[in-house]
Amino acid sequence: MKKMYALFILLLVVLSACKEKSTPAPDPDPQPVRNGVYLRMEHLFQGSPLSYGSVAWPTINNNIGVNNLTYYLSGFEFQKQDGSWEKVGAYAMFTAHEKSTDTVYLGTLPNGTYQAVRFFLGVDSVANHADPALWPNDHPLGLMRAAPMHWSWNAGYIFMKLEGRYRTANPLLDGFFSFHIGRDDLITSYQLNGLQVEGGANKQYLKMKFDVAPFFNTPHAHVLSDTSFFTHSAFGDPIANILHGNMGNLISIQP
Amino acid sequence: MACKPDSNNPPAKTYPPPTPYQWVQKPFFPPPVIRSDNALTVEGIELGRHLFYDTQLSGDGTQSCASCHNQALAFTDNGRRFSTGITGAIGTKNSMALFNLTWSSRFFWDGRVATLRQQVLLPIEDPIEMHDNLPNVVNKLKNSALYPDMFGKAFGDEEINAERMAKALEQFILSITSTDSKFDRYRINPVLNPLTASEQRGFDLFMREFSPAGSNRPKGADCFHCHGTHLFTVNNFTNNGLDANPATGFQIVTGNPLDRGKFKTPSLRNVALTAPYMHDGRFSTLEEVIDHYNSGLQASPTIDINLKSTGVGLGLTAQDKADLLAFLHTLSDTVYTNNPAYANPFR
Ligand code: HEC
Ligand code: HEC
Repeated sequence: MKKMYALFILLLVVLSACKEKSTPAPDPDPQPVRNGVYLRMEHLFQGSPLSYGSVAWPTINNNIGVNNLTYYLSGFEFQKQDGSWEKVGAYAMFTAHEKSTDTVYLGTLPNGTYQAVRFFLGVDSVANHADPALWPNDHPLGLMRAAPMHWSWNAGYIFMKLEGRYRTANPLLDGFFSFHIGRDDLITSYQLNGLQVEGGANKQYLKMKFDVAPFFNTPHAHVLSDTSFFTHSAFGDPIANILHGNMGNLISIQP
Repeated sequence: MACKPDSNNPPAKTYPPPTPYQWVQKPFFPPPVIRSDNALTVEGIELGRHLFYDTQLSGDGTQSCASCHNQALAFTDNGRRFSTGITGAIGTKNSMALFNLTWSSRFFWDGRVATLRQQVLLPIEDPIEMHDNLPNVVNKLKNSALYPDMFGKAFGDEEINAERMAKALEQFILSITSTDSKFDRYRINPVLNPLTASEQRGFDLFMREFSPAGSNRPKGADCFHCHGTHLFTVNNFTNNGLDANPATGFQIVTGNPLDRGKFKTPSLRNVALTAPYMHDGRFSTLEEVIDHYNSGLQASPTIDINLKSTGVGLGLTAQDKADLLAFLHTLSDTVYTNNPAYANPFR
């Protein structure tokens, strides 16, 4: 089969010599060609870049490693100096395990200087309960991109998914964890001040960082064990509530 | 050269442009994923269907794609664990169902092919499948009474080459959808088309997360993490715990040891028709598959994090298993298995 495959590649090369081959997969990353505000997010653990696969990051009582960090930010609004808010309304999905630094296009702002931004870590309840098949395939909420982030017939989207492994006393028995936080009442609001963003016909980069460490300990300590290693945010699940209490401390402005 | 017009030939006959294919958008399904350089056309799909069922594509004229992909069984290979090629050689993988592949972006169990266009020509030359070579097949088609005109209608002129064959086969495969199961009718109108109590319990188990023993939450079989959404696959590659020492799988594509043992998560639509199961056809019934997830998961370094019951089991009762099975049967779609648009045009 391998040989036949090689033969086939050869054939493809021959064929493409005279016919332009196109690349069908749409690149979800925005080309920085449009005017407007771009959000550039860096993903960290206690200030160091996240690395995947290793079980090296210290939390309350365990070392952990991250395999998958995916989340939604939505409902962006920027505050002018007179205190009024301008909506840009974008939905952004970050897949930190695929790209440790990710840039997402948010939209345009009218002329003026903006001093603060507010947004949700999560998806607003209207979009959360709409049929995901109705979005275009390249939309962050559409099924082709959101399939691993959508609870099919349950409560809508997973707002933040963090999965990985944690070291136990016996390294051969490393545990894994899987935290899927969603549900309308577990949305997290952010407001970050001290911006200097200019609206109008230009390109602005807003730099933020997402640090995973506080998820496990700020302010609530969450110790990983056989009984606390996962949540899917079912009603009444105390783990989801504890972790949700920490989710307001993950994102900040980069100086 | 395939792409240069031969000056000795009479001027090429020209054809009107092919007719764009009207995609029927069904509720809860995403829009089709368009392959921009191979838009579906009525004539292109029809040509692809002929090629799919034509035994001229094999070395000795005995085998077509349909020999291992039987429409009545969701285009799987007649219950065989491994497919047999024209020389009697036997493969090592279970044939795959063909439907809803417009929403799929990697093909074969290990994902080693990125487009259907590349995929569809491989069986023709595979010595343990149809065992022919492409120039030979192209010649056979050129000399047939049927194909020059069909290629003309599909592509504007009568040129026949491997790329056009591949594109036509790709169009046919992309046009095959399965959207009319009992479950779909239930989703569209649950009052008119209810599930039975057992099917409904099975659906709930399928969609609910695992609860460890002692938890006060209802029991769940946790299937939706990988087989979720209306497509019944989230289109990922995962290790579903078949072996403590897993086969290569997706690692063959990425070279990454963390991808060892990961295989394409198949859609569970029509799964009651597609036995045997898994990439190597190791399970002959759905009961065996359910037992695997219930109590047979093998831990390994790459087993999926969401198989949280590994080691302790899902704790399904005989009734739970029967309910899950009843639900899986609601995913069979006889409109699709009987659809004349996908059937053998030579009969
Ligand atoms: C000898 C049996 C046999 C023949 C003939 C055959 N196939 Fe297959 N097909 C298979 C097997 C087995 C697999 C899975 C192979 C693997 O994963 O390595 C497969 C996989 C596929 C897939 C991948 C589906 C997916 O979801 O990834 C497609 C598409 C397909 N075949 C189309 C075709 C077409 C088109 C033809 C004719 C040109 C054809 N097959 C001829 C046995 C066959
Ligand atoms: C972690 C992801 C994951 C979960 C959870 C999962 N599956 Fe699977 N499933 C897979 C993968 C991957 C395969 C193909 C594996 C292979 O062939 O090596 C598969 C194969 C199957 C097949 C065989 C399909 C075929 O065409 O051969 C069935 C049936 C199935 N799963 C049912 C279920 C049921 C029922 C559940 C819940 C009890 C479940 N799965 C949970 C990933 C998963």
